[in-house]
Amino acid sequence: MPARDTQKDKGSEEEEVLQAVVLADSFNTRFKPLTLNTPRCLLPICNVPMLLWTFESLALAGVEQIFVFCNAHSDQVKQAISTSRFAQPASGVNIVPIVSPRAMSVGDAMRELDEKQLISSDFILVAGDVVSNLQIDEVVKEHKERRKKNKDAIMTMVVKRSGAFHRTRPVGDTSLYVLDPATSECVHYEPILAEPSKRAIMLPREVMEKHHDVEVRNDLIDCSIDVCSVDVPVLFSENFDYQDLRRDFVHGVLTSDLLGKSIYCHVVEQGYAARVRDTKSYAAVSKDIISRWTFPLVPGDNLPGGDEYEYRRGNRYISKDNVMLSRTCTIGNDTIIGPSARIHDNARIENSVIGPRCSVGPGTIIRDSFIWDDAYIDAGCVIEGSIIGQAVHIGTGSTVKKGCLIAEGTKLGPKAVIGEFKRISREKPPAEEEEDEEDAADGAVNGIMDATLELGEHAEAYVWPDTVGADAGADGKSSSVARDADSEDEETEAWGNLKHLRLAPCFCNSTDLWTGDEGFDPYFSDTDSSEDEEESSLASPASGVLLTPSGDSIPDFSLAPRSSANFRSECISSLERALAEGHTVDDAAIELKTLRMASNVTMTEVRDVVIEFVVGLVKGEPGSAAQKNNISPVVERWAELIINLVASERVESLLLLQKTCARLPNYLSAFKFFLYAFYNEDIVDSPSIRAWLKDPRSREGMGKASQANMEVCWKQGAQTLAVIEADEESGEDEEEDSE
Amino acid sequence: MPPETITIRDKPTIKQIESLVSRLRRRQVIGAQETAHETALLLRQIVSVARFSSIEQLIQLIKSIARRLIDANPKEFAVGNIVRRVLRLIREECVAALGPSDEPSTSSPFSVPETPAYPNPPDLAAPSRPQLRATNSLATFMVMGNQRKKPLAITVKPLLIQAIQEVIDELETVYENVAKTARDHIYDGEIILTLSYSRTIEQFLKSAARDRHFTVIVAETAPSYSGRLMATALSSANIPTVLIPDSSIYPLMPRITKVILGAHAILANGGLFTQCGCALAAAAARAHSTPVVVCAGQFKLTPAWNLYHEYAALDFAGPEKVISFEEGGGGERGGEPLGVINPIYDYVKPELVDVLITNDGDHPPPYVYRLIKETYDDEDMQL
Repeated sequence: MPARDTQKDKGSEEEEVLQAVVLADSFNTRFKPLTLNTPRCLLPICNVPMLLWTFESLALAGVEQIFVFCNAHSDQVKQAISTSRFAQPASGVNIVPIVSPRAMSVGDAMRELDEKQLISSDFILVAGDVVSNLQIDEVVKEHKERRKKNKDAIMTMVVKRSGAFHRTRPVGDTSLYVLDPATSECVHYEPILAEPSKRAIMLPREVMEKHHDVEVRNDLIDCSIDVCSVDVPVLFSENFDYQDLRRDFVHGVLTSDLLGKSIYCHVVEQGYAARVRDTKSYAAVSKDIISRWTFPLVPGDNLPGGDEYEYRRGNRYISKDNVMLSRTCTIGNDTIIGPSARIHDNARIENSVIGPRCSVGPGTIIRDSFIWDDAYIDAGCVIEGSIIGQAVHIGTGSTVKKGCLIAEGTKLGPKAVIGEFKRISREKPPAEEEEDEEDAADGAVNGIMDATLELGEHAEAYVWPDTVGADAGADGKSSSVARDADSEDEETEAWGNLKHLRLAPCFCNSTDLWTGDEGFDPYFSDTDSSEDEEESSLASPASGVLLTPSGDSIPDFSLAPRSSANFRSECISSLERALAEGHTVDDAAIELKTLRMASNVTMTEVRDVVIEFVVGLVKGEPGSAAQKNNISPVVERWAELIINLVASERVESLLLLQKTCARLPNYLSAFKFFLYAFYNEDIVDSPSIRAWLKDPRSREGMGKASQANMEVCWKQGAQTLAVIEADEESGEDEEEDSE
Repeated sequence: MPPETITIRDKPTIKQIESLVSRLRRRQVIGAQETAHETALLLRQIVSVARFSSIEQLIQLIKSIARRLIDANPKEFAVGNIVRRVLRLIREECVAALGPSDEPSTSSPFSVPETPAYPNPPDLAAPSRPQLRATNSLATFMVMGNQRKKPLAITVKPLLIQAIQEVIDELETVYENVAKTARDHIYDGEIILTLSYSRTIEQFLKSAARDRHFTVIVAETAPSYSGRLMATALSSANIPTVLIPDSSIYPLMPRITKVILGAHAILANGGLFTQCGCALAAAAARAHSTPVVVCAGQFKLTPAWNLYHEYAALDFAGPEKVISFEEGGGGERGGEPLGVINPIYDYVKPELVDVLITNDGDHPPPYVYRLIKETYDDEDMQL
């Protein structure tokens, strides 16, 4: 007697089984050391392993077959799958784990997928740490419709709109999408990291030629859910150097003329989807779940793990299973208390997740933190904004400050004091490997001891080096993150960027992270030297590190004078290097532009520096023939750069030139030669010289340049103009000497 | 001797059970009517494939499945209500099928006095129950003995399926039956306020409009805005309709002559779980002594109480309907994220309701306990 829905099922089976591929490995190390003994996808979020959230998200969308790619700790992943309720035959979902120890990146996994020929039709590709309540099947339908019309539409990326300052937006890992609003085709993709900051992107000209309108969007969260056609794994096989799905594959497909494939975006309006990329987004996603954005995937309703919770006012979720709450304890808003947890007298828990079987001692205060299974926290502790791993033991009277990650089985205290952003594990951190990779990393790698750190008497713990990247600062802009049990890849991440990814109390008072107060300052001084591409000796902070989450600079006026002085020296050193190493003028121009953006100085300043630099290049005794002869080759060499910078502001530039010459007695008499050389190289033209002469500023004193000297220059200029005009009138060749 | 537990072995049925459980969990089946219908269909399927040797076993089986369905979404009371109805019918059918003449022979030596095998034996089990159970097992015995090992399942199954079919049919006609008496409740020239969308009320008003001329004011019922749907449905049936924002309910109340509400569940004390916003309307009506009429099918009668919360049903949806994700995640520069509360149901106290109109007639709220007692067996109150 088939009832209604079996018939419906049959109908959909006739079409195709909806398949999904879950990449259980993250291929990066941002959760280290928590991932030493547990794969990242099995770390709990709201007391349920992330992988189960992903499965439930897929099951919600009607996915019937899921392939799980696992690499590190594959036995644990397999076990988790087999014990979950999705393993039951009647669950309607068939989960197939695939162990691929060789896979070091998304690209490798996709190539393996292609080899095994598991995929028969369009499939959903998700990361193993996605939480979503989207109807992905509708995106699949949309994708299939599009495929019918256009065979080359190989992929649809699911993205969610969010505000620029939304907590769930990954600050260190955003992307810029250029979309065609009519078809929502993604025509250009650009990954954006918080550091090194990106102030400009290059848009291929074809984009504007092919599309009437384009939207440039920086407000989309990448949900890491992609609907892919069977061509995608094949493309990965063909292009064996593709590693990352976004940076290599999407970028490669979009910029390639040969492939002729297109990628679309699906902008989600209704529903929630986000990926746990790092500890910071871990906190954000937890918070989203607690405030029920993921409804109906919330504790108390449809928690994927299956535990029952009671929902109380103010987003408090108390497990229905054997929880002991002391009569005098305080449970604040936005809190989850797991099964069999014990909260003792006068304990105070706010904005936190307490795992199953945890114990919180009398008088302990836990704020904005995530306490995982079986942790034991003794009396009188204060824990803020941290992740405390499984079975961690924290002794009486300890303090853990914000941003700490304490890995499984660690013992701390009594009276331990852990400073901000520390990473602590029971095992020794793999220091040797770092040294292998980065010879600059030796010294002070292991067991950094400072005043903010006190592990306590009976501690069994190792402190991880503060920043893997900062130690390797001399190397330049980025450093390899040490290899890790979680994943072994060659991904490089700038430490400067990493600090945007770490756990922060984005719970409520996140502002302090971005305004650069005391919570962040120490890291400025640590890292500036490493991110200074130009010259590490100039270890003053470029104001570019003052980033807002969207990558705009905050006009921090108090810093401005300092940064302009820095800018000057950096700029000159960059130009000197360009000269020494024989860079092309274009390269130098780009470098200057970057510097300007980073230091947030005006164009005038750049011109000033460049002109001064060019003038300074001309050697020789003042007024001598050598000096005179040197001028035109120098100007010729740099003309392009100056033109680039001068653009429409020619009068301004002439003023700057005049000022420079007036200020430096060596070049006072050479002004006219410079002017003529500028004219010859088309940097300036006669109308602009005329305009300059008329400009009242050209006869006034400017800064260090006295009025008298300016007057001298002006007179030279007037002469030169006369010569130039004479030249123009007679139409004679410029070869003729104009003196 | 407790009956041995049986399980469903039929694969499609298992799949169907799992599917309903997960759809309830995922809230893909919502609304009392739809849930009730799905549950009844599932029960019919279960009864038709179950291999049971005594009615007791079948009842156990149904209860165990019912518990899973209820756990999947404890706020959909219709699941439990339909299960209770069906259980009662199963018992009745059994007694009827095996002949009332067997009834007095309770003390027959063949019947083994049973220990109650319910997982949650109700404290207030009616005295008549052991008798009925005894009858059942006697019936089992007699059927087994007299009819040459013809299994009980085959004898009673068609009757049970037919009984469940009646429940399904009743569910399908519930609107017409509620609407039957509409003309007795609505007079010419009335101005009626209603909220949200309810098919029962739509039918009720449309039926009344055949004989009466009245105006309906519909509150749009944020954040679901289901009132808009209601308003368009009514106006397309040529009923003069005015759509108002929820904020205008109180100021308009003096002009309103009757408030008609739907219900998600009718509780044992006569209180209601209703769409969010109804508590406000009912309170405003009480302030102006405007009568409040509730239209609902009988399957919404629920043997439960709302003891701890005066106004809320403690079921909350996500904040997305109220505010978009972009805006809800914290303001400029990641300031304090908004706390958003989006309750799904209101609790309307029985004092605020004047009359309940069901497909079984009109009743005052204090009488609901009686209806519940008549509709369900006592031992099923706790499943």
